[in-house]
Amino acid sequence: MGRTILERDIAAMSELTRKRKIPLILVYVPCREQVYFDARMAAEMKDIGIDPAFASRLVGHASQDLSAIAARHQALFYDMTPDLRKKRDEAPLYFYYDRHFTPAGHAAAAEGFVHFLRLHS
Amino acid sequence: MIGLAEGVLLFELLFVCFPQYIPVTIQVMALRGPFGECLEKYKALYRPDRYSCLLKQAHVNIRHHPEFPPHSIQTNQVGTLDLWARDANPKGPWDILATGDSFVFGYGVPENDTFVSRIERATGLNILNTGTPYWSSGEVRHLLELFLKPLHPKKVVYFIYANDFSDEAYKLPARAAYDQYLADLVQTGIASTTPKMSAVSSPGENRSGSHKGMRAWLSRHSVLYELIKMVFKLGDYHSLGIRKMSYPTRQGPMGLWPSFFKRGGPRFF
Repeated sequence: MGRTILERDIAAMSELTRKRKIPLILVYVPCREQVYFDARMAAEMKDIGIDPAFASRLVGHASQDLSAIAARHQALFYDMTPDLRKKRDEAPLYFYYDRHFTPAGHAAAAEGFVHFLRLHS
Repeated sequence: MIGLAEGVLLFELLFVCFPQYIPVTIQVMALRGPFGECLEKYKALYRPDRYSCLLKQAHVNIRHHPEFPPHSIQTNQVGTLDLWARDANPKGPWDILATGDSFVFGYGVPENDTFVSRIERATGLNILNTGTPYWSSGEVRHLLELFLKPLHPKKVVYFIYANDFSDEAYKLPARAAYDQYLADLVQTGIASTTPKMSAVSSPGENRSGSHKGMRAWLSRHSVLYELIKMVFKLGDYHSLGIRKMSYPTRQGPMGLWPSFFKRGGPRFF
């Protein structure tokens, strides 16, 4: 249901911005699990009975959905996940308990998106 | 019996003297310890709006947090609009209107470290950061409906975090109440219902106040009481007055006292 409401809201935003000829860009900010999902985590999940292939699909699902929503409503789309994955071993990108970005996470998120903005300016 | 009472008293006294050792989940739910204090401070940033919470003129200092670097949060009015933002210099014309939730706002980091500020410095563009903690797509749509025309940015960038896919479903009853309120006003000029959100002044306010009397006191002062609630999954807390919260179910001993046991890399599942 949440996904449907999100799409309804994005459709309304897209209409508002199109009326004023302002481009709308949707940017997906991944959660920690999506950035750090790797073979070690897949093995840990297998140990507790979760199919790693299912988990892998699950962590990639949100950005794919959002990409499709953006395409349906003529919005540009950018996914920050690859940028953050590239930097994940350099420094902790998320606070351990709080789960928001650390300053290093913000830096990694900004870096990739700057290139995208330059391409679309 | 007396020994047991002494034990309980000593146990509670330990956490009165060293609140940083209260389990983080209890700190967050019962608003105690450094994590709870940080959430309490965030209350000063909000004002009620019938649709949701909005930022107001505020200045908050976050110090001695176990994870966050020391920083200040200053909100400023955007021009003459009824809109406040965590933006040091909110003066148009805007190249980009950046919006979204706490990630965009820069929860837990100084303003200069947020990705919006970094993008602004790297590109030289004038970006207005309207990110607000607890927002999801409904509030963002509402923001654009109200302020897109006066702000008139060259681009709108909506940063969507994973929880935006589900949060609106929790907010649905409050949104429906708001829509009903508007419909009543339009039809009759008198609203028969008051939207639920209007009673909410800030996120997390009802977190420990959803109980009354003795239960509320125990919730704020007894770790043992909260532990029992956590183990037996008793009681609910409220976030924003719209979403019932319980203690997370995926909490083993590691999650309970992570500061004692956790070392050696992140564990997510």
